[in-house]
Amino acid sequence: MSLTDLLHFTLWASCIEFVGALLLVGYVLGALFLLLRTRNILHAQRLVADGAIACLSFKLAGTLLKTIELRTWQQILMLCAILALRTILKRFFVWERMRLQRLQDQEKHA
Amino acid sequence: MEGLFKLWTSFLASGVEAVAGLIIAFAALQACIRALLIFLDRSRAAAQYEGIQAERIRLRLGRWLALALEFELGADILRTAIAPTWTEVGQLAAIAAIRTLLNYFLQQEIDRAVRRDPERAHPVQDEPASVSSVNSAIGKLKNEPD
Repeated sequence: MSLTDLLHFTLWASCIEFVGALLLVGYVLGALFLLLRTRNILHAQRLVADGAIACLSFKLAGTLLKTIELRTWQQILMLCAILALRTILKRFFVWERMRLQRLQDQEKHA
Repeated sequence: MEGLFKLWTSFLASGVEAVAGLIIAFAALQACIRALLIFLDRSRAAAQYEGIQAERIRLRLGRWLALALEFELGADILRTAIAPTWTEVGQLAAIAAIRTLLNYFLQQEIDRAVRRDPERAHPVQDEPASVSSVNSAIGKLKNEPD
């Protein structure tokens, strides 16, 4: 890797996005391990939702970094489409996380 | 270097999807075996509780499917980093939308079922207890004189 490569923002953005991907895989493995040990689906679902939200935050950071090197309308529109998709997914996971939190609270109070 | 990250991300996404596939396969197998056991149990008391047990199997399968759908949505999130063409982005958006809607309606159905019968409010860890409560009710019925 040369010095000019290190100054490419897209490379750093990819690095950040990859860290997010690793984080999600870590949460997924944790959920799988939890399922095998306790068979608690609610808790496993919550772990996956947490992982997805964390991963989406990392991906957003990476995408924001990529905006520095946007040059054409094609690139801008593509980025908008991917951002919109991620925003919808994030809203869903936040809704899901709140729902699971409510269910777990009910479980604790019962 | 960037290509390497994309390649690894696609491997990770495939791995997460494989886990989801395994969960769906095992959940379907478990539901099939349980349904078969109910179907084969021909006693009078078991017939009386057949509906309740069938509903429980359906809900349990629904919960596993919801979990698998979340895994698949996780894989979709990973794939958003490796979708270079408009066709791929469009296909990914359509698939993610279908999975999100499926998951949403599945959760709504589970919530409605829990509201109908609050005993199911603690869905997983108490599942053996719920089954055992049905079994004890069946046992009581069997002990009652005709």
